Amino acid sequence: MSKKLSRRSFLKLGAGVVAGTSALGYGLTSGFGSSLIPVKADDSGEEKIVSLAGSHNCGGRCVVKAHVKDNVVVRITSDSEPDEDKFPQLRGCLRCRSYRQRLYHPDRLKYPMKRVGKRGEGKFERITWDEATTTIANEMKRIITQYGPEAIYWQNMTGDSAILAERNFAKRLLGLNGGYLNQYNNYSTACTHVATPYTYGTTSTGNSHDSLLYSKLIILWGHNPAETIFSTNTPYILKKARDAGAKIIVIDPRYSDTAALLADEWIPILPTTDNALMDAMIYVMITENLYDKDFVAKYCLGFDEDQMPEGIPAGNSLKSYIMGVSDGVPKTPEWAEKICRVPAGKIRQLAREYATIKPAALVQGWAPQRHAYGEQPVRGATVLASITGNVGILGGWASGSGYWGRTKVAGLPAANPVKTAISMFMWTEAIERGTEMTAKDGVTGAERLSTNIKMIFNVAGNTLINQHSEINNTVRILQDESKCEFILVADQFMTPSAKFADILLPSDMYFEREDITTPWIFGDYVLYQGKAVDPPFECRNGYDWMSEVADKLGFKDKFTEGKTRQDWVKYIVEQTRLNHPEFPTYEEFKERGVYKWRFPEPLVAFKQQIEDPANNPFPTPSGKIEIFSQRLYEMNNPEIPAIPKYIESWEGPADPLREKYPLQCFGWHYKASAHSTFHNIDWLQEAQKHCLWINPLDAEARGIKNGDRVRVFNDRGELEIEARVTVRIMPGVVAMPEGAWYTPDDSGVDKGGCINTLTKYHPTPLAKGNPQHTNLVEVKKA
Amino acid sequence: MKIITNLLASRVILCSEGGCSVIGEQFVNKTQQCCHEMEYLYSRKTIYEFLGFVFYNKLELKHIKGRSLIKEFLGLLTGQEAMKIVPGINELKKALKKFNDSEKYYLDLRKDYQALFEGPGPLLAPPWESVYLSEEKLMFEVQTFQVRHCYRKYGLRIEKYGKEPEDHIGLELQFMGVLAGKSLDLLQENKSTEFSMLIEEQRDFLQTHLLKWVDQFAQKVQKGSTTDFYKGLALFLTWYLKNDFDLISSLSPDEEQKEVNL
Repeated sequence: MSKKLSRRSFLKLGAGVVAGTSALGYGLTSGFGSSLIPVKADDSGEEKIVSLAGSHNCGGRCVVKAHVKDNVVVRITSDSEPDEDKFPQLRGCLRCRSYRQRLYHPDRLKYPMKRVGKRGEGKFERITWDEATTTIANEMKRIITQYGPEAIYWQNMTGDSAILAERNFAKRLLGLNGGYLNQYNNYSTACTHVATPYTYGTTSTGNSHDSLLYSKLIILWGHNPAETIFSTNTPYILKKARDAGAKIIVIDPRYSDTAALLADEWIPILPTTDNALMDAMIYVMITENLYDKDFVAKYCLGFDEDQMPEGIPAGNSLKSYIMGVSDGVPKTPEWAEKICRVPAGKIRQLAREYATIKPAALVQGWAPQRHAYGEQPVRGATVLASITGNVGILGGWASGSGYWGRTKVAGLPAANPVKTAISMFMWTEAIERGTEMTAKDGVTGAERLSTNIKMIFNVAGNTLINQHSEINNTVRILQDESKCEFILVADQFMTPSAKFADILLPSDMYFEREDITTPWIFGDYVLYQGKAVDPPFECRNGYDWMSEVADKLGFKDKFTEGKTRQDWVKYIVEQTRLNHPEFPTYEEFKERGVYKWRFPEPLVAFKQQIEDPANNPFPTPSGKIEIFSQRLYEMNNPEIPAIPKYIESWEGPADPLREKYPLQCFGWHYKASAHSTFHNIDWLQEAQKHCLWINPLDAEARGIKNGDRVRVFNDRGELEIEARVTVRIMPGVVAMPEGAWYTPDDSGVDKGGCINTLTKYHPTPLAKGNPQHTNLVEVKKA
Repeated sequence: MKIITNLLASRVILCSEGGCSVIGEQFVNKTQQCCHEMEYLYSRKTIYEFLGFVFYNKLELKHIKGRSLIKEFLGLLTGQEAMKIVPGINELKKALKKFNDSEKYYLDLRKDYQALFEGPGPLLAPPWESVYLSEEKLMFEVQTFQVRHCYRKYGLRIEKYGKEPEDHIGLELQFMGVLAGKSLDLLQENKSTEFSMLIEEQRDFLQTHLLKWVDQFAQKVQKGSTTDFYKGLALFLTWYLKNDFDLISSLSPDEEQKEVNL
C-alpha cells in the first residue's frame, strides 16, 4: 500500500461521516450497538484448583488438576496425593497435560449446524439449538414410526468413556423413545470377548496387575502397556516386577516402547502367525515332556485322545493336531519358523522357559486378536497357560481377554425394549442389507433384522468414518442419503465422522462437566471429574440437549427423573456406596478427587476353581478348561476349529496377493493420541509425529529414505505418510499408528494417513469382529 | 497543545465542511483545520462502532435491506472524493451495489462470515488476537486476559463473559469506539488532561493489541472471503487502524503538517 492521503484529506473522512450520520438522525450514538456491558461482579482473579480426570478412551485414567482463573484453565498439573510404593500416584501423561490445546483450540466446534451440501461434503449452516433438538426429535419419531426401532443405531463411540458420558444418556434417550438396535462386542476386544469363554466359560480371566509382582517370567504377547497404558500404573508395576527379578519377554512385530523400556527380550513375529508359534511351543512341551501333566489331567478337556468328550471321532484332540496325527503335519519349531519367522531355536527356548519357570504370566494383548482369524490366538494362549499350569495361581495368568474387577462402581440405568443385536462391526452391512442378515451374520435376539439401519446416533465417536474398516466403502454407503436417512453427530472438532453429520452439535469437554471415571481393566480406583469451567460458545453437555429432545418427545420427566447432572453424579456415588460402604461420600470424593481401594492381596482369576475344583467347576458346559470345545466342533466350520489352530490368513504372509502387495501392514495405539482423540494437537505431533515404520531392507529396496513422504496403497485405498526407516520393525512388515484423521484430496488419496483407508471390511468367522491389523500393502515414494 | 485547547474552548460537536453548525451555548468559529479535527474525533467513534459491529455480528437481511444503517454508513464512507484511493473502498462500493439484491447477497455474506469466523472446522480467519500472538496459538491466552483487564478498567465486560474470549477483533474495535466516545465527552467537559490521557490510552491499546495482529488477520480475511464486502472491510480496517494511530499520535501542533502514511 504505497498510496498516500494527506492528513487533511484523511481528516475529511470525519466530515463525511459526521455530516452523514447527523443527517440520518442517528445523532451522537451510531446505532451499531455494543457487546460490551457494565461489569456485574468483579472477578476475584484468584486461582482455584479443581480435581478431575481424563475420560477419553485411553487405557489409563489419571488425576488432572485444573488451575482456574476467572473461568479460564490457565495451567494443568497432575496428582498431588502421596506417592506410596504400593499405591503410587496416578500421574497424567503428555496427552492430558496438553489438554489446554484442546480446550482452547480455535477449531473447536462452537455452534449447532445442519448439513446444506451433499452428505460428507462438509458444508454446514449454523442453526439454533432449538432447531437442532426439534429436528432430532422429529427424526427419532419419524424413523421409529416408519421403520421400527431396529432402524435406529447407537454407534460404537468411546470419545468420552466416563460413567455419565453422553453415549450412556443417548442409550437412555433412545430406550425411552421405543428402543434401538443393540450391538455386542467392541472394536478393541471382539474376538477375545467371544473366544475366551469357549475355553474358560467367562471373560473374567485376568488377575489384578499387582499379581505380576509375583511372576518369575512375564510374556507380553502383542501387549504394549507402555503406550496403551492399560490402567495408569501397569508399566510401573511391570518395571517393579522386573526389578524384583522377573524376566520379561515381548512378542511383537514391532520393537514397541514396552519392548524397549521393560523387556529383557524382544521376539519379532509376522502378523497373523501367532498360532504357528503357539502350536510349536506346545509341540516342544509335549515332545520334551515339559507340560504340567497333573494340571491337564485334573482341570482340562481335550488335551489328548483320552480326554475327549464322548462321540467325537479320533484325531480331534490337541495332541493329535500338534503331532500331525490328524493332518500329517507335525507342528515342529522348524515348521513354525517358516511361517512366523521366529527361529526354531528361539521357539524351543521360549517353550522351555514358559513351561519351567513358574509362576509365569502370559499376558495376552488385544492386538493379535484384531486379525482375520483373531479367535485363534486367544484360544491358543489360554491353552498354553493351562497346559503349563499357570491358571489360578499367584504370579500366573490365565490369558485370554484378561478382564478383571473386584469393585463394583455403579452405572447409569438405561433399558432397551429391543432385544435384537448385531456385532458392532457389521453396521455398514446392516445399512445396505440389514433385512437379509440372519444368525449366520451374527444377528442375535431375532431370526433376522426387520429393517436396514436408517438413523445413526453418533455422540463423541469417530467410528462413523475414521475408526471403522475400509473407509472408502463406508463413505460410499453413507454418502447415499436414501440408505441411512439421518445421521446425528455431536463432537468437539470437525472430525472425518463429523463431516458426515446431518445435524452436527458442539459438545463440551471434560473440564467443562462433572463426572466419574474408571480405567480400562480396571485398576481398583475411581476418579472424580470436577467441572472446572463452563463450556465456551454454544457448546453443550449431552445430557443438557438430550433433555430438551426428550421434552419435545414428551418424556422429559422419565428421562431426567428430575435430576440435574450433579444429581446423577451423586446418584452414582450413592449407588456405589451401596456396593462398597467404605466408598467416600460425594463431598469427600469431590474434595479428594480420587478413591483407591486398598486390598490386602492381589486378585487371582480361577483361584477357587483350582484350589477346590469339586465345588467350583469352570463355568463351561463340561465344567473343565475346554481345550477342545464341543460347541465349536458342532459349528462344523473349518474357520472355527474346536481346538486352537494356525489358520493361514487371507492377506497374511502366505497369501498369493503378496506378489502385488508384498508388505503386511498393521496399526498400533499411539502415545500421541487416544485413538483419534488428540490427533489434531500440535504439541503431541511435535513429540510423536504420525509416520510409517518401515525396515531398512524394505525401504532400501524401494529407494525410500528416512523422512520421505511415501504412498501406501492396496486395492481398497491409498494414503500418504512420512516414512520412518527403522530396525524397530521386522522386514516384510510396515506399521503406522491408528487414529490419524482421514483427509482425502480430490483424487481420494488420504493425505491424513488413516490406516482404515487400507483395512478391509471382512468380519472374523466366529466373533464377527474387526480384522483391522490384517492388510497387505505396497509402499512407494510419493 | 494549541488545537486541543482550542477544541476544549468550544462546545462544537458537529460541523461540516461548508461551515460550522452549532449545538451548545457557545460558538467559537474555528479554522477549517480545527473543524476537521473535531469532526474526525467524532467520526472515529462511529467508524470503530461500525467496524466493531460488522466484524462481531453475523449480518441478517435487515442489516442490508432497504435504507439500513450499514448501507447508509457505507454510502457515506465510500461516497467521499478523498476516499477514492483508500484501500478497500472500491470493494466496499461494489458490495454496496450488491446490497440492492439483498435477498441473495445476505446469504453470500453469511456464508463468508461462517467460513471465516464461525466454522465448523478450521476457521479461515480466527477472529481472536491470542490465536495470532500467543505462543501456543490458542484462545483464552495471556492476550485475552490483558484485553479483559483493559475492558474492566473502564467498568466493562463482554456480554458473553466466560463463554467467549474478550480479544475478538469486533470486541476490541467496539472497545475503541467506547474510548473514542469517552474522549469526546471529556472534550465537552473541558477536561483536557484526562482527554490527553485517554488519547494516550487509545494509542496504547492500538499499539499493544489491534495493530499487532490486524495485518495477519486481515490477510486471512482477504484470502478466505468470497465477497467484496469482507475483502473491502479487511483492507479498510488495516488502513484505518494505522492511520488513526498516526493521527491521534499527532494531536499536537508540531505534528500538524505531517503526512499520513498509508
